[in-house]
Amino acid sequence: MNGNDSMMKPIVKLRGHVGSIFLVGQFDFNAHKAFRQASQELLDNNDITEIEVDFDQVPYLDSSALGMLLLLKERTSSASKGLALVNCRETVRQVLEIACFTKLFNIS
Amino acid sequence: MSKQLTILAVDDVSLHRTMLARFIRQLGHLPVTASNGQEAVEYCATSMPDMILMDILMPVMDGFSATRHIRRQLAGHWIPIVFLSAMNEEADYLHGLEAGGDDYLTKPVNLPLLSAKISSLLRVIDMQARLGDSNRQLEQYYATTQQEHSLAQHVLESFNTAANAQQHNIHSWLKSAVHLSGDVICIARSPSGADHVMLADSTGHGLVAAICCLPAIDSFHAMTRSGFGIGQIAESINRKLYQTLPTGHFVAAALLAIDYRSRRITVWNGGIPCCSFLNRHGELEKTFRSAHPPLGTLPPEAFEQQQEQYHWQHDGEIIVCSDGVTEARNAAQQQFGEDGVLQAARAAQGHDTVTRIAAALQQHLQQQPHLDDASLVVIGCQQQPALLPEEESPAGEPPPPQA
Repeated sequence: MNGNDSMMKPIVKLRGHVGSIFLVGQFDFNAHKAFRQASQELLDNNDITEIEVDFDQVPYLDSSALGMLLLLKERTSSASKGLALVNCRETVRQVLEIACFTKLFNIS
Repeated sequence: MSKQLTILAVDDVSLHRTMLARFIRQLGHLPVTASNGQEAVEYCATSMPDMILMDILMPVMDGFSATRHIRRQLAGHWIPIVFLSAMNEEADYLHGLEAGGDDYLTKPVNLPLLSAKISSLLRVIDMQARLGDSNRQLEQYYATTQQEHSLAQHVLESFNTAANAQQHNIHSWLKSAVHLSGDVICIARSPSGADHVMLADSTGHGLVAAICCLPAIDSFHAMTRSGFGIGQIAESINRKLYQTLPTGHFVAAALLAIDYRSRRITVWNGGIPCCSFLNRHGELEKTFRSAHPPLGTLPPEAFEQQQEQYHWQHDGEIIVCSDGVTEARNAAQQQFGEDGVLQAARAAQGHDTVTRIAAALQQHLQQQPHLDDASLVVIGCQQQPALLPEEESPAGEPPPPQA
């Protein structure tokens, strides 16, 4: 495997009703557990109505990352919270566009 | 710990050998003796002692050389070797460790100290044995898994390739990241004489990914045979996958229908990065962009059948590949890209395009491994219908239903 250096490390930040997950590094299968933990923290927080996933520090994401986003979408809507993908860079935006996730997600 | 060990005592002085042998017997173990390094090496060539007590200065061959020989001879199997020396010399100690010794005793050897060393080395021997057992278990587990994987691979491959129509104008290439591929290529001829091709790429790799593709393969072949159009086939696969796969698992796919008589290509593309028509002059005539989320993502009521159509003017080829090809990154983290695919296709000038693209991809990757399943299909679109006489559909068949 690629080792831990390339593994994504999410940072959770709260701003009023908005909770952000800042992703750092490659967003792929290895990030599964860390991403799930970070999003659970926000899903469980009743003060948070809006969840943002920040891709500013993500150079690349693969199809299992897309799967994790779909899962998060399902869980945010059943928790009646909003979801947005923000600060998507070119390579990330490209992958999201090819999968037509632009039709399913609020992306900026 | 009460296990009886065979301990080889190596010393050129007969009195020392006798003493050591007596000590060893007193401690409940079995002594064997050798009077120089050469004899010790010869003994170890045919028998395997559990431990060696090795004098350093001996005629014929000294203890250091003998140790080196024995270590080489028993590569892969470790036995403790304890050096015996008359003086408490630090240099001897270091030299001994370098030669492959494990411990050091000063002569004359006293019984309690030898007993303590043997006990401590016994613990190591015991640990070694347990490690060996775990290793064997792991190896067995690995072998079983490998066996199961190759069986699954065989089943999946025959499931797909046996069903695939062999068309002389359609060539494909698959490379899986692990034993089983989550990418599949399906080819079938519809009753109308059009060719249906599906390139599907399931989330992840290996067995799970391969299993997720199965419903898609089955539906594709059955529905093509029954005369359904690719939009209807895509809709049906989407419904099936949406109902069976857990959220987060899906199958990106491009479904193509090639009608040679009316020179028409119809494409439904959900998440496949590259699907392009290159004419025989190397010009990019048409790119079919992904217009839908992958199959299994949308609930049936939100699914859109909408396809793209293109009438080709000049003969050419359609090139379709999964993201394992376009996103393959070299050591400098550069992606092969759609450009890499099309460049290689142009250079091929219609001859063996699949092989040329695969070779260009390999050159791009150099020594880097394939991290994702990669698949590629090239369909030749000629002026003449690609039908061979014996493949012609029998007369009197119902008109082709088209979506």
